[in-house]
Amino acid sequence: MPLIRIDDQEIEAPQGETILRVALKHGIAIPYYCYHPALSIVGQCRMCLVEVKGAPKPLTACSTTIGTLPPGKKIEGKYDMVVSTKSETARKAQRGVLEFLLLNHPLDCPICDQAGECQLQEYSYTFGDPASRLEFEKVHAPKRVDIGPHVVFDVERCIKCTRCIRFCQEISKTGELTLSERGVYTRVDIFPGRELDNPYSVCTVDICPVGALTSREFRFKERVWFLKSVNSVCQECSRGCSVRVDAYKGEVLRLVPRDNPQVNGPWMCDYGRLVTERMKGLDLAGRPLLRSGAVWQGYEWKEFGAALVEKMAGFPALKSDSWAVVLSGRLSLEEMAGAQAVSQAFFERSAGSVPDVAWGEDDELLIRKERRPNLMGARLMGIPVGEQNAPLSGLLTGKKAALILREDPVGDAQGAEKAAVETALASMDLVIVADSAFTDTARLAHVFIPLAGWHEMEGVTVNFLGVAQKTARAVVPPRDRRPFYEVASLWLTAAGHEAPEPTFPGWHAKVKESVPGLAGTSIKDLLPNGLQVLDAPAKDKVKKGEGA
Amino acid sequence: MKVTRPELSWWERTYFPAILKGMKLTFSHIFRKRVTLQYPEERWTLPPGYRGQPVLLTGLDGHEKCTSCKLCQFICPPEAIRIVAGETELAKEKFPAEFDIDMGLCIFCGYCQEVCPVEAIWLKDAYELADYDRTNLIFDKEKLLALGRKPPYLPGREKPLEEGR
Repeated sequence: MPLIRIDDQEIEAPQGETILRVALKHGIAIPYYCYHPALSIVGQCRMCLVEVKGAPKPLTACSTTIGTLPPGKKIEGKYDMVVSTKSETARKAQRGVLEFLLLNHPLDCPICDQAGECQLQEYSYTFGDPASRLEFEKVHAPKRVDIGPHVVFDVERCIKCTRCIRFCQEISKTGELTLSERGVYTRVDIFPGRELDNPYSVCTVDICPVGALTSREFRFKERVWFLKSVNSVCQECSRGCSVRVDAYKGEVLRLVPRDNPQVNGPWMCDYGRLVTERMKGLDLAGRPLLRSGAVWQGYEWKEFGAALVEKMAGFPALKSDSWAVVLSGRLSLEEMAGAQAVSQAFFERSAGSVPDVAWGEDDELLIRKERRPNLMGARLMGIPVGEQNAPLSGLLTGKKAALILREDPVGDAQGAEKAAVETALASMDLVIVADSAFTDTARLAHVFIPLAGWHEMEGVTVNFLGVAQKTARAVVPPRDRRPFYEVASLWLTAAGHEAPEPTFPGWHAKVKESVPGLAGTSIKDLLPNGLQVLDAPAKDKVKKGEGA
Repeated sequence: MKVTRPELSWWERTYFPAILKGMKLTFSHIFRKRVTLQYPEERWTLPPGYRGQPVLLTGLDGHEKCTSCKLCQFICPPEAIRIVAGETELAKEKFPAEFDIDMGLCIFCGYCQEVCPVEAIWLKDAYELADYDRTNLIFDKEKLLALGRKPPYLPGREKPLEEGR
């Protein structure tokens, strides 16, 4: 392997690797904008210029590959390449490039959403000149250009790194964007009659190193330095992309993909991100409710366990066969364990089945048509998964009582199926619904248990590849909304049964007993990128990327 | 630490000398210039740069100069400022849909004025801010803008509407 020296560090680098990749791998900071590990290399921004010994001019580190010199011609007798990232020539080149990039930049950082996570800001502080030498009016370009339903483009702020263009060509394979015009008027442009409307369009906002592309949904919502971030898992399909959840004052404001080569690479779909918009319309659950006739009565949690047990005691005729237990693929493993324990204790049967809700089609990149994140988890827990899109009325009709967790069979169904579910539920003696929102199904229930939303609790989900990942609490829920495992502990202890502690670690220990892949692991092993608990089919592995 | 106290004589232990010394100072003030102001009839002349009520300034286009960058909200030590940003059709794109300062919390430090990149907030000389109800102390955007349009104006820019930066 060629031996190279970058600054003072001697590195054995593989033949044909680029200087930038080697430097980043060994912790040497070289500034760059256009390079992205998952995209092709273009050498567009010129920010990564370094001095290479023997080369007449500074070279771009992102596109210069490392080769071998013949034995007699090694530099200083042993090196195949000597690179300097901090020499006078390199510094001058970096400063010069940055001056060009900032020449017509509008410097509207106070209103720019990227401020605080902007590479242009960061490199300006590190490498740039404190003042501009431009004596003339800056070249102005359009602002607020609508290029797609979720993306707003500010032409002035763009530094023409072409990451977004390459993303559309290589990753989403839709190719909506291109460069147009020349010289100082060069701009990223959309082909006439088209808009940036592919299922992954907001990824262009993530990879934009400056504030040129901004997300319409997050636009002007909050400055990034106010956001509180946690690492979590997207719950919108069985892919379970690793995400960072950014919240402020009890509201989830955006989801950003985390680079996880096992699951999603550095990308995520727009549908998953827009969960922030869909969450706004939810009638979020308040407190535990019991219904007698048409009157709902609210309870405090400490009284609710006893009230629930009392209510259950009013129906001694309900035996195991008369119960329909509908679990959901939205439940975490711990909640499934809670549901199993509750079913065992109160209905004298194993937990019911998990409906496999699917719509749309699998695509080549990330999106899966199974829309429940934890179906594989249910299989691992030994809970049967129903036929794909099987109507739930079949499960409910003819039963005397039902426990429905995190599913909304009434609200999700249409037409005859909806009527069938409604009739089935209305004829039942006892319907217990637990969900994070007060759904249409909850209106037909006799007992309503408010659950914490996916963003408000800890839990483990297993995606279709068999990777177990942990969700985290991005927002502290109001006191009356709890994960189902806490409810299970409360319910079981109120009836005098044994129950684990009403906490995530308490129930996770119970999960580990039934999932072989998790045996002997700790919660830390699931962080940050999850743990493979099942052997995955090799063809579904994602191309490795190392993040922006 | 050991404190050595002076040994007092019999005459000093009567405390008469100390009392007389104090009275001498007290009565000497009768012959000095009076410093008491008959507030509120008489008023103190405020020094330049006095930091009182923070107000929002209006630009020449008649709209608030604030672009809702939230630097003042970030820097505000008692977290008295609350801003909700919105999008506007104006050239500045972003504007404060809501801008509240809780004058019950404000400590008049002037950091907001210091960090503002567009000179939209200014601490003027108003200091009589007491109220019987704390909810009245939360000044909203309209109130802050109205206060900003009244004299006195930002030093060096003596006019009600300011040119934006």
